[in-house]
Amino acid sequence: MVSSSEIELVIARLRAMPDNAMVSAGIGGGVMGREALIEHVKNANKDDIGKKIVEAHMSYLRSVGRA
Amino acid sequence: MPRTMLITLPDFDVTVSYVSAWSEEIIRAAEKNGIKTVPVRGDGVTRSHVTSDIKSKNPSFIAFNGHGSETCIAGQNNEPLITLGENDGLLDSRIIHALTCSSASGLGRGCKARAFIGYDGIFWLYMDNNKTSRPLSDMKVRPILESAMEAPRQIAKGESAGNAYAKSQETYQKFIDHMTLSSSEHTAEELQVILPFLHSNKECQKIFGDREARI
Repeated sequence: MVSSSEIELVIARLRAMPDNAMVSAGIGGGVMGREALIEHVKNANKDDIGKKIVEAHMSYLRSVGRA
Repeated sequence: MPRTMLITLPDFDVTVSYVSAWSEEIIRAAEKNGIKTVPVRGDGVTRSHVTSDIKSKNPSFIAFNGHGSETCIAGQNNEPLITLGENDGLLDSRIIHALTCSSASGLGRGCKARAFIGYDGIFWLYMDNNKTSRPLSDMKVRPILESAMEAPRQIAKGESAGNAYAKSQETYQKFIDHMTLSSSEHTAEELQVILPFLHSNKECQKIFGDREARI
């Protein structure tokens, strides 16, 4: 279960992504711009790509917190 | 087993075109080390072609680039090349590097490769959509692909699988530290997005088998 606060945090971080950037999530997610990433994250509790995006961000933030 | 490297270089979408373009240096590293190379490119990256090349050339090292799943490594147009429980015997006793999503978790863990380096989750790429026709000039992708390519590069240079994995992990961390702690060519906004994906790729990179294995 992804919490609403985690979803809001990751969306806020993704909003900073430049217009000319795109992210590939492999075969399941294809290539996505900022808005597509945010849509996945909004639905993170029923969208596997969205869940993985949140997990990636939260894992990184926890690693920074441990440093 | 001959000192031969087979490398797959599909090119049917942006993601695999990037990975294949950044893999060309692996071929040069191998050739410089006196290793015979068998590059399989584009529409040639089919199951029948790759199977035939593995059987006839008997490569000691295979570097797969492409999409994948927990149990499969794919080629051009996502045609399954190697599937666990079906034809994973083609990997037996070889060193395998699989730059694909997820294939380490099932195929890497379950096959009988001598050593297998790959990823057990999504392999993320962060790219500049103005550079898609020239992947090697895209410096936004550099931290991710240079870190990942360190593993096959080291194997091609004759390092052990264990050292190749360790050096790739070090490269990931070097970029993470550099981008976190000092000014870089990326904006602060970009770093908010790149760093989590770079960190995730590092965490998902796995090695199975004999860490002393070398080409």
